[in-house]
Amino acid sequence: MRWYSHTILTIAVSVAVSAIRTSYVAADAPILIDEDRIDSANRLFFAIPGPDEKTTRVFRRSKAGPSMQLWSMPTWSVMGYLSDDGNYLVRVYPGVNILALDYKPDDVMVSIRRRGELVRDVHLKDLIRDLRALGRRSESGYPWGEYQGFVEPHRFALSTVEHRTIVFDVETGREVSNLPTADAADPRPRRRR
Amino acid sequence: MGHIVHTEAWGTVDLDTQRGHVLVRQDWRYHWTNDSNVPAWTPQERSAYHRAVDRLVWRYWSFHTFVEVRKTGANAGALAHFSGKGLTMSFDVHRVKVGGQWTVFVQKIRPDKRPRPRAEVWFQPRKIQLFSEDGKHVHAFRFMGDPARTAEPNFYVAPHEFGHALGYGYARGDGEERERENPYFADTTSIMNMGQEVRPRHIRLIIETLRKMVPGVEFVATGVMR
Repeated sequence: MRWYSHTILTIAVSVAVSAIRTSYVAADAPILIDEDRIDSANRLFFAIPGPDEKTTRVFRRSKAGPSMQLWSMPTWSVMGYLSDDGNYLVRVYPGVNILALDYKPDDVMVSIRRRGELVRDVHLKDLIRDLRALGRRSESGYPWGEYQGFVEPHRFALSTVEHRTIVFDVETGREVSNLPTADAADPRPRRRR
Repeated sequence: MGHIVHTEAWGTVDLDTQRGHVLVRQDWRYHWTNDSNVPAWTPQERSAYHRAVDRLVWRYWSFHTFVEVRKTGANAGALAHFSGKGLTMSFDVHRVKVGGQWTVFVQKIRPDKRPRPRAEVWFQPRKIQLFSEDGKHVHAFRFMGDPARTAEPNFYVAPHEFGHALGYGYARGDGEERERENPYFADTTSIMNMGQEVRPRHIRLIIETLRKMVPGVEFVATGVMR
């Protein structure tokens, strides 16, 4: 009986800590939107939250009739990109281009899903070779780079403060390109060391 | 003694002792950049952007907080007349081509770029990063599922960042109000949280500056005109 109680308590504490951590990260990242919807670039597909924002539902738009739901997955975040075939949803960091003050190298910056199934999570440490390269802290946090979105049907790109443009193949999750950014000039303040 | 004018690194405070008015002005020197998938800024777009920012700052910051003159000393001069009364306040963003107190980078992006990149202010080096869409009215909320989220747009980025440029932020110990541990986390209509209303606490640096300008006079920020 004691063993059983201890196990339940451990699980409860873990879930609570996880929930606190998740909400803290989100609270540190102001969310600005026009609409609670993610559109594919070609506007043929869109993702919206399900009831109570606990699920993501992806639809194909139809001129003839109501939009048709294609697939769904647990949890919702408006911070993401939907591929032009409606199959891939790439969730991004809630603070978008600015890291929270308490960022961790393990923070997920890119989460690639195919019809809801995880293909790969890409962490901050996978993108930034030297965290000292992060920009000087602003009044909101640390600028790390920016997302470019889908640059080809199944290629997702971003650029970093290390002046590199990184491209991922969303089918495999693999990094297929990591090259110096063409325009490497960044006039913003650098962090003092 | 009609005006007492004091310039700090972050802005200029002009105290009109006859009208009982405080004008706070910042000189912004813009640098215009653009994403590779949008055309460069035209001169007309640059002017329109600056006008939009200036209008938003005027609309949401001017005449929404007041400065009470609570106690006047021997060197108060013309301000003695305002003892126990309120001074009005207005705010002006002035575009300059040379010099400037603030260096402001404005990146032009596609209007439909999502997720929206977030603007930033660096108070100590006096630099601001804005985006071409930051003058638009948007929904803002503190976290996914935020019960305080409103049905109608409730936030403008530009006047919020202006508040940081007035010294309200981490640089002076205030942080971001929309963070859970901030004492004003629940004040969701505050312009420095996720709303549009200026609070007396947001102009603390201006009050400190006024006290330096007229020693012996106690200035207090208030939300109402007496």
